[in-house]
Amino acid sequence: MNICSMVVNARPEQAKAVSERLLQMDGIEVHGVSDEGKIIVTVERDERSLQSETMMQMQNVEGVITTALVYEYHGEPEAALKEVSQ
Amino acid sequence: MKLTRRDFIKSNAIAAAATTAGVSLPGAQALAQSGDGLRWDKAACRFCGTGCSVLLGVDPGSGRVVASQGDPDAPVNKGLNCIKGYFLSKIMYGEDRLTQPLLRKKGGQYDKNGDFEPVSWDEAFDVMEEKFKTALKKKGPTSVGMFGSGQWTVWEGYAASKFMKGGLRSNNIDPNARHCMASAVGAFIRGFGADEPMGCYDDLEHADTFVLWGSNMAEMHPILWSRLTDTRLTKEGSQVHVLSTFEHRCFELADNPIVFTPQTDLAIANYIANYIIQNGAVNEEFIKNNVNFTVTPTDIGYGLRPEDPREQNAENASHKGKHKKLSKVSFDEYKEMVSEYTVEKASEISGVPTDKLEKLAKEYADPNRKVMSLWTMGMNQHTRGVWINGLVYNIHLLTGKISEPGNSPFSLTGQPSACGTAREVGTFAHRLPHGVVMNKDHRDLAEKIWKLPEGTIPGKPGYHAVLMHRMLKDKKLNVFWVMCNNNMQAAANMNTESYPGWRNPENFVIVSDPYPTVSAMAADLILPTAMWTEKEGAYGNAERRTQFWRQQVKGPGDAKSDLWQVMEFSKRFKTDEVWSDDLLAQKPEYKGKTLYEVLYENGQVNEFGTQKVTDSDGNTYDNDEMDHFGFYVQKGLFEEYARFGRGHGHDLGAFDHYHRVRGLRWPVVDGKETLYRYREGYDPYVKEGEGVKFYGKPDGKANIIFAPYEPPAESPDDEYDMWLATGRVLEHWHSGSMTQRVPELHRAFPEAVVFMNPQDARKRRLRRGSKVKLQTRRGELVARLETRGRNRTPEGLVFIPWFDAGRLVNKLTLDATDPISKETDYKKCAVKVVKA
Repeated sequence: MNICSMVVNARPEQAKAVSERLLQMDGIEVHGVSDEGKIIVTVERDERSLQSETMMQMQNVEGVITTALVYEYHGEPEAALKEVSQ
Repeated sequence: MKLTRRDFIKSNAIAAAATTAGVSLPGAQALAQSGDGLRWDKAACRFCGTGCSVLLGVDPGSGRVVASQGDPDAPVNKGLNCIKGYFLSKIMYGEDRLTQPLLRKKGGQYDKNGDFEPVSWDEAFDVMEEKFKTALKKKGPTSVGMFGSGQWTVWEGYAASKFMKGGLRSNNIDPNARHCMASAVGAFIRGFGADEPMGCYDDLEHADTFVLWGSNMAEMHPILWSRLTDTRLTKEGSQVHVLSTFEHRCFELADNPIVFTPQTDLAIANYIANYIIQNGAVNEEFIKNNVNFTVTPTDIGYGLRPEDPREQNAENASHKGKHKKLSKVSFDEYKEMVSEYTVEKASEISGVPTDKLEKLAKEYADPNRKVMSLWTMGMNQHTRGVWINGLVYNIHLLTGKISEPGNSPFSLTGQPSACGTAREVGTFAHRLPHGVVMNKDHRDLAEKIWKLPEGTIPGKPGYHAVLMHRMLKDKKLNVFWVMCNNNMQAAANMNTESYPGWRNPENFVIVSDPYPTVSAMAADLILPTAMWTEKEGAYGNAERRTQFWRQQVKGPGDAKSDLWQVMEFSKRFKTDEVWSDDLLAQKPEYKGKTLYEVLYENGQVNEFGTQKVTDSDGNTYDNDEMDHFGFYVQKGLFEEYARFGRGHGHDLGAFDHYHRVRGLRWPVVDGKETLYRYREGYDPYVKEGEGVKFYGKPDGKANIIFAPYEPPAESPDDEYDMWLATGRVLEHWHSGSMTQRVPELHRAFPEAVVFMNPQDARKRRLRRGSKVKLQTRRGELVARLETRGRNRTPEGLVFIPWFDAGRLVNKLTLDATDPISKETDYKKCAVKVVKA
């Protein structure tokens, strides 16, 4: 299990278009966009190599000014399915 | 609702990102971290000089770091990490981590031409001891040396410096920070009499205009770049000016993109000073009260070997000792000197259109604009690095735009503790903690604090980084201990100087590293190092912020921290073996004692006994050095070191305080940090009514230092017809010794490519993606050609990153240095590019 959350910066007027471009990439979900052009994204790929490639490719998406990582977890797949609370 | 661990972690991840970005997401649950079964604690990032704080999640079952998060309580990064942060939790777990000492052997014995075989620490130290003692006996303390790091923790650098200078009586200790910061330091000392920036990162929000003078912040300091970007996008009228010798990522945000011919920043900076004077924008009151005008000697050569014709022909070459003494001049004389730098002349020299130069100059001249200048290697790795740093300070001093929020000349750093360890502790060949070896008073103070006999520390500077490799080649330096860096890959002119020096049969080279780097493989003995959060540590970042972390995990196998290695090895020497009778006569009680006893069991370093290390939540942490040596080593070293600076403008806070906070910016007086130095109301050292006081200088005044444009050491000619610039990329940090261990990162930017302008490629009939050969007067290498992508070079210049151990760029580079700072110029030499 590999999960990362990131904040992607775009010019405010382009933020929506940028988030649509990001959504076309595998493993990316967009959770919100702020008025200042900050896009809340998670990246989730099965393989660590794909995970980092996706993160790197985000840098090259048109309109992306900066990307920043906030949270990152990597663990065994079986651990991911364990119930932890109700 | 049933939640799997995945759901739980994912909603944590989303909530953390939303909070950091200030976005409210109705669906996202803010779940407490305490439910994820991990132990979370803060640490300073292992990579660049920004000094981000990260939270590390350790899985108690495996004892490994499995998660990380940007620290939301950290003022530096405010919850964000850059992409390199993704790899932080993985850099300790590369498959080829070194776990035991390796010695070159043949037939069971050490042999310079043998193959590496695993040995015990005892055997490793036995051989090292024999080599050190033989060299010391034969040629004295100048025949042994240590090459350290701006990645050492504060106490590691301090313990090493004490061992070399106070113990072995050799000033041959220098950090790799010489390659990245020395020019910045030189300019701070000449200009202000005290090292490190007056301002801080808060200026990234206060400034109206940002000027990048040779820094690709977008890739090298992404978190600071995102703060700058935030300001640019939200503050009306704010501007970003980017100067570079090629277009890089930062140009995407640039309001005034400026590509100049290498070395001509000297002319541009002088033009701006001239513009300020010609347009009546000088802050006369500030100048009168706070500034002296001076001029630096010119024609100072290029810090090459003295036999080089370029040194022979230079009137004030550094080997003649006439290269740096400043002369006082009047303001009128200074005006006259800069007056030749008209916009036309600056444009002609630099190749930058006049309107762009004027647009830049206006920002500095406008009294209503707050300007932050930022730079890194573009200005520091420069044969006139001290000069160009100084020329930018001149602009800020002429306008009084300094030492206040938003008005900030700001030298960024490349390594996490270039400031904290290399510069503040003073692990340079000429330095002591907050002092220099050449000054008897400074030596006296160090000897007093260290409880050593008077005269222990030699008064002559040792070999600096570049000189170390030359002296190895010349067989004058025979035992060389390299710690926490990859200098075989990093040092310039590898073929001619570095490699022959290291492999010289008379020399013995030890490399301490977590990984089998190019340097480790070129050594005779490799010592496995416990890295980063495998030990308790402290780093000092570019804004004078000192940050601590606790040991989070255990090092693998027999790996030991640099601190353990230095202190444990010091047990191998008795004072009688390394000190003269005169010295011992002063302190007869030291006779027969080991250096370990004298240096580290001196009643100060061992002042604090063993204790349990805990955080505010009651979690407990290991401290392997404390367990081994039987006292709180890190605390004792830090508190002894802090004696040097307290009361002298470099005050550090109390050890325990740093474990509770996200760092403090020195001077820390009465537990309070300092945001802006030299200004009343901010700096406790400036008294009421003094306004601005540059108290590093005896008269409280800073120096404006005139320096002209002078050409570089090597420029393109008919045969080697292009400029070669080297540097870094986002994905790999420096030599890649940590980042290349992470397989996926390696895939993202697997090998160094040559960035070239498409016109140049066409002229040479080279195709994008094809292999090309780069040749200089010193060596050649083959790499793939890139004509698009993130770096767009102008015609006549190629750029190649240096992280790739498979393409050693420093076979090509020239070891020309700034004669004042001794920092190498990696940004310009002459190259030809042909089909491979």
